[in-house]
Amino acid sequence: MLSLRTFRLVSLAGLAACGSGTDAKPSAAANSPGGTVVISTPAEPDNLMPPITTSVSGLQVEDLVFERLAVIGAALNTVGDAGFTPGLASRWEWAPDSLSIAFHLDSTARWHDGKPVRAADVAFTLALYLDPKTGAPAATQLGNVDSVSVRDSLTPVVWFKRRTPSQFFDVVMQVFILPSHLLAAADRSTLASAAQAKEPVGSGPFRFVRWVPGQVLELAADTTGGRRRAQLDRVLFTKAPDPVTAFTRVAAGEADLFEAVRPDKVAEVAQNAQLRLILTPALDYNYLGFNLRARKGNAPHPVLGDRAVRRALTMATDRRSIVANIYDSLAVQARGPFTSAQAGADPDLKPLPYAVDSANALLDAAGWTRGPDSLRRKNGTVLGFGILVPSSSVARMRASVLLQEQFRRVGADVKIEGTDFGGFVGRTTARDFDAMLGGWNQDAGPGNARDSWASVGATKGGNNYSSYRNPAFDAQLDSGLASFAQDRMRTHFAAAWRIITDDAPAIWLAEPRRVMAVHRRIEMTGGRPDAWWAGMAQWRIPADQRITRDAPAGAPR
Amino acid sequence: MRALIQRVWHGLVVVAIVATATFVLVRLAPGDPFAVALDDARLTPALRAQWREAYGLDGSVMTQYVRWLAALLHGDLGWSVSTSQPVSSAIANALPNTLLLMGTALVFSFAIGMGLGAWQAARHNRAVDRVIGATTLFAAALPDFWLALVVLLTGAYWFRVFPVGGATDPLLPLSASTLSIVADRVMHLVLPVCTLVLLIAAPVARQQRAALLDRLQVDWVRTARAKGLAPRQVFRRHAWRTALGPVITLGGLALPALVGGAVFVEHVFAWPGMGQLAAAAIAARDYHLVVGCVIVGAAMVVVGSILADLLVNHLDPRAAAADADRAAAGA
Repeated sequence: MLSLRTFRLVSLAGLAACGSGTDAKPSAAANSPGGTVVISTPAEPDNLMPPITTSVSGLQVEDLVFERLAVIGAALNTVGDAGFTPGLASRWEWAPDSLSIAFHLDSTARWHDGKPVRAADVAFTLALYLDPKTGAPAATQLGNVDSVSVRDSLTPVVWFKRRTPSQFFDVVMQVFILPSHLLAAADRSTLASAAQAKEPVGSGPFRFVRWVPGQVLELAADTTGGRRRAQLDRVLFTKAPDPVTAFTRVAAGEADLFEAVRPDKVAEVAQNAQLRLILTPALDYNYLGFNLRARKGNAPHPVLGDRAVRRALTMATDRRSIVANIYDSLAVQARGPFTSAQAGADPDLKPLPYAVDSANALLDAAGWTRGPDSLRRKNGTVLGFGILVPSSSVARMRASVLLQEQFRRVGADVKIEGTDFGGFVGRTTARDFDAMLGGWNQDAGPGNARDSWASVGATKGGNNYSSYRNPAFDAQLDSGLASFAQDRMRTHFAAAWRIITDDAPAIWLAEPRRVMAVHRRIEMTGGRPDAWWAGMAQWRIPADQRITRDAPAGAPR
Repeated sequence: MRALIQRVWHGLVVVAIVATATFVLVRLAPGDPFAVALDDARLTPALRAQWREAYGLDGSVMTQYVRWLAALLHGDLGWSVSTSQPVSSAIANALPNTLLLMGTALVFSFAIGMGLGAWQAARHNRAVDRVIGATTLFAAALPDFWLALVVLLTGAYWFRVFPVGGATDPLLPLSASTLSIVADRVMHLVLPVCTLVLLIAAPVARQQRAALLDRLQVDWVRTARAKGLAPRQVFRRHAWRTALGPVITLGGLALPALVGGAVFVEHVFAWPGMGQLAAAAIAARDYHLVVGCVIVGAAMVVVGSILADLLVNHLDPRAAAADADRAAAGA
């Protein structure tokens, strides 16, 4: 296999430099807005109604059509408002007691139908998100919002129940401001069926043009408002459900961007003169999660309920070889239940080492003795378990085979249980597994680990699928989440990560990087680890590099 | 006529049974429409329960079935959770695309397959017959997913003659002329149709060849030859016409594909048809959409088999008489 280490890693901060690569000052004509970006994607939005959208594809479109009050910075700081940049609000003021924030809306902001954006829209939007009838997934994160008052037509004031480190992040990043004049009459319990869910009207840099289900979703730069327009004319999302087809569209020059290039296609992108390979950090990690409870009932799992077994299996896992085998250099080893790009990451955390001899010794000491078939047993119970894997994921299927072989070396009998993705999700949420190869795609918020690893999520129906419980871990995590100082937050999180990696309710395997194939003429800027598309309004295509499809809509080609 | 009414009645019962079985089976599979992703921690159990209630997916399977049946009697197939639209709209969007793709593919497949089979039968045991026979056997054995990818990469990537999937050019201006629109459609049809023709024409050719060889040995064909009729006339009027029965039956069985689509071919070529819709609905555990797709598919199986029987009866009066006898005995 061609080594991928030869390819340049382009950091997000360096995305602005991607493109023509010339240092010459571009002429005014070269700087003129224009051009089309065609994004090839295997998925399409579930709907375009922000409070109830759950798909990433939907979020991508909504981020371009709607606006937030403010926008998180590339460092993903979630404490206070450090690093946040203006969005729909051009500035904001904190009350002395921090229990309210007054947002000053940009007076030139307009909805795409021409009506001005007003403070009443902000009040309406938050009421919509918080109404239980709406069923907004973000309502939980907005639970600290008490009310919204309107100081004047351009100044909504958001009132909080208590002061928290992430109150600003919660209210600006979980909410897209919606047009009250178009949604006031909509039935909140069936928002998905509202016309706006298919043909949204927002105030963002791009306006909605059309959505042909299963084929294309088109946006165009909004030029009606008085604010700075997007540098591109059009953005089209074209759907091809098969990832190979979606990638081939870009490779064949029919589309400009594919965001999930597989490792086996990297060399092809590198050899394509029209394409650039861009690697950026992401907020995903993959792991082998152990079920600490028996499949039936609430008793400890007969094998994986034993902490010594989990630690031994972790030490028997050569994560470096697994990551290299599956991702080459397109992923880094995961250290714990976080990603390197998150504010709470601990780059100094030392996970349990890869040491097969120590793993064997640990199992011997724990009473798991080898039999003539080289499998270990304890009180008649075989050291055996199944690994639940979604068979649609090539990477996870390969990881399961490698893990099976590595666990065999310490006397564990592992069976791979492949299933379709729906079955994988169904069995995981029902805790009907011994071990599962899962992945978390996190947002920038600091509370992700609490949902997925703390005791609060360990009850059936919660997202802590391993049913891991440790009050010491919970306490450190909660203390970190309650810290107003970043240093203290990191200290508490680091302690929490040490506790959970010692308990080994999972083996954290890899942090895959986002690998994008992008047409060379596109100059990208402003991406973030949680949203590569975040700066799309500033992406540009120099006039002298435009191609046929960059012609304005309706122009002869 | 009695036989036809009986067939239609039986068909309705079959569709009802298939729909009911699907309704139950899809709910027995692990997962549900609001638990398709593990990695969104915001989707709490309470929220999922609220959504299930809002979309009529709460309660026992029997409760849901009664609710669904009541809506169906009002012409409502339910709400598609994964596509955020009524099931009828999702099907209405996908159905014309599948009809176009599969209709074109079936017409070409049967025309080519029947012609090839007849040509082979007329050259029985010659080298050309053996070569075509081996080729059609090879084509019939090809996995559709693999063949579709090979055709896609060859026609759209290596040679770049045709577009990489989709039903239309997303950049085609809305003001484009009718000619441009038709040309664009044809260009997008070529590769998926070629794939389907390769897959479908092969068994049709083999069936046609076998049926013709069988008919060329029967008494009335020998008699026609003995009477001094020209070989071409014997072949066309006496052998070929009566050998159409098995191919027509094959055509009737292929008719459901008109609406069912070819799942893998639609998937690879990003063709927004019924096959892709049904596959995505199953993956997303979109219960109402799965059942809606199955109803349409089952209805087409019934219609296809009835049409095939009518056509066979038209061509072979003995079959019509046998059908009438069975209907009378049944009554």
